[in-house]
Amino acid sequence: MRDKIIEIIYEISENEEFKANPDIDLIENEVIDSMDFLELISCIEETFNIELIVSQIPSSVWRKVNSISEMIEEYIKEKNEEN
Amino acid sequence: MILDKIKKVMLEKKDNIFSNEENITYFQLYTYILNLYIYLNTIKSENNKIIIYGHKSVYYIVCMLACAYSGISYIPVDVSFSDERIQDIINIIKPDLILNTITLKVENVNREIIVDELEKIMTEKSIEIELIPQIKPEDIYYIIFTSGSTGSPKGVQITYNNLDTFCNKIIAKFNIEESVILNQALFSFDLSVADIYLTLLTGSKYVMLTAKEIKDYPRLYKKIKENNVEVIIATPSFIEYLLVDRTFNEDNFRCLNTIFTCGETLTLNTVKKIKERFKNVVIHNAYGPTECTVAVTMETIHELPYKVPAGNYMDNTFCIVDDNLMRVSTQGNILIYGDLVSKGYINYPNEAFVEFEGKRAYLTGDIGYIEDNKLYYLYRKDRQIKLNGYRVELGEIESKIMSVESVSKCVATVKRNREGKVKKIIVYVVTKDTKEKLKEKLKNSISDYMFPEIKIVKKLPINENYKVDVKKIEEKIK
Repeated sequence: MRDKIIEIIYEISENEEFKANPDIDLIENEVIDSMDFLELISCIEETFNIELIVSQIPSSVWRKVNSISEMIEEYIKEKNEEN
Repeated sequence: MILDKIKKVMLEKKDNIFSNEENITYFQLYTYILNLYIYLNTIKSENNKIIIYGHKSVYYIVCMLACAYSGISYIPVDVSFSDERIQDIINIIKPDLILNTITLKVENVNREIIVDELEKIMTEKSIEIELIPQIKPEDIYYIIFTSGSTGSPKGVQITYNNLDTFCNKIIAKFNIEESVILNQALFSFDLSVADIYLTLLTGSKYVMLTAKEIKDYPRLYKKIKENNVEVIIATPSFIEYLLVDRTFNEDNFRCLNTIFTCGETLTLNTVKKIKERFKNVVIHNAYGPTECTVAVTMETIHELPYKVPAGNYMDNTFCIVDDNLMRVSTQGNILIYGDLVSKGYINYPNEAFVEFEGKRAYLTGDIGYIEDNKLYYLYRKDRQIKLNGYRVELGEIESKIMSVESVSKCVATVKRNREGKVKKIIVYVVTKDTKEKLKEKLKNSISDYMFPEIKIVKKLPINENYKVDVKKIEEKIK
């Protein structure tokens, strides 16, 4: 999961600093500015086959790969429970 | 004219809330403006131009109106502007004064009033004096900067008469009373002129979205919902940004009744999505360059159309001409004439401003056509490149791709070699089709010599004005 997310973020941002250190703050270091954000959302939705409700995801989640990863796991878990 | 009407609204609807940041009523707004107006009348102004610096706030709007009532042209500058751009603007304008509505200091200016002092001036106890507009119809009301193709910004000078004409038009179109109006655009982007003046002329509540709030999805939706927003004035890209969350629908946003889009092409895809989520929302789509005061033509989209019109020919503000400025009815240059055409750029070549059939006119550089009395926008003309000796308009390629039903967005760019020669055309397309399928569909409409390399993407990046960011895409290719 983590590796997949790192791969997606690198693909969108092409940010070398991030590649060297995936644990940096994504917003502070301008890895994902809000404009790439829409692409990130679509990529996550497609890759993990989930639909994000962005209005319910606190903006702090988008700061770190780990918190994004946890959030996605939560979505997948919920989806599996529904099925 | 509008300043008389706004004064009347501020006094007659004095208890209406103008903005719920600090619960400012229309009467408070009036006293703030009056105080700053009195102050501005005491200072010696040589150049009659004031730069307003800051980000969305009530103070910013007070500064705009106090300048207007005093007969001083204002130039809105946002905090997001680079230092270089601000310096360019200062060099062109040579302002008498900068009204700084935030605490950060602007460098290299003669005279600046920082927020604390501004606040003191605005909130003083008013002396008995009447707010009388000093501005004359032909005076410059505001100057808004757009990007010039050479990189240096161009300042568009809008007269009081231009703005008055535009406001009367938009008021007639909207036909609203005391509403709640959402602002997305920066005050330095002239789309905001539509929401600011529509609000002031109707005594409505004004909901400003700061750049920070827009970037924070939960806060963004909460603000729209809690304020019971009724009217959204925004770029199509911003509307799409809101539509990302499926809870943005009529069950959750019950008050929303009108969406007004301007600033770029509204696609059929976006219209469909809006209609699916909000059955009763009225969509107005408008077209117009900054040079002609926000928007010259507007069209209400009732039924789901098969393509989205940008305006109505009956508005009598534009026509289609050939390269010799001869009127044609088919595809060609969009030429705008009449009272919305601005005075032109400040200290910049003004060859696009021409005379047409005895009227002042502006050759937009946009290509469009008229069908059933409606205007359809095709593309911008100034993106011509040379590929293997052939002249190719990138906009033309884009418009051909956009005409494929499954395509919701696309941008054409070029890849150049080290010498700057175009190697190939690359288009970024948002579509449900595969690359092969799209190629097949385009085979007959795009000639081989200009057939682009296609890259399918999920989303295109957007800039701080919430328009598709072509520059950013081009940088990525470099």
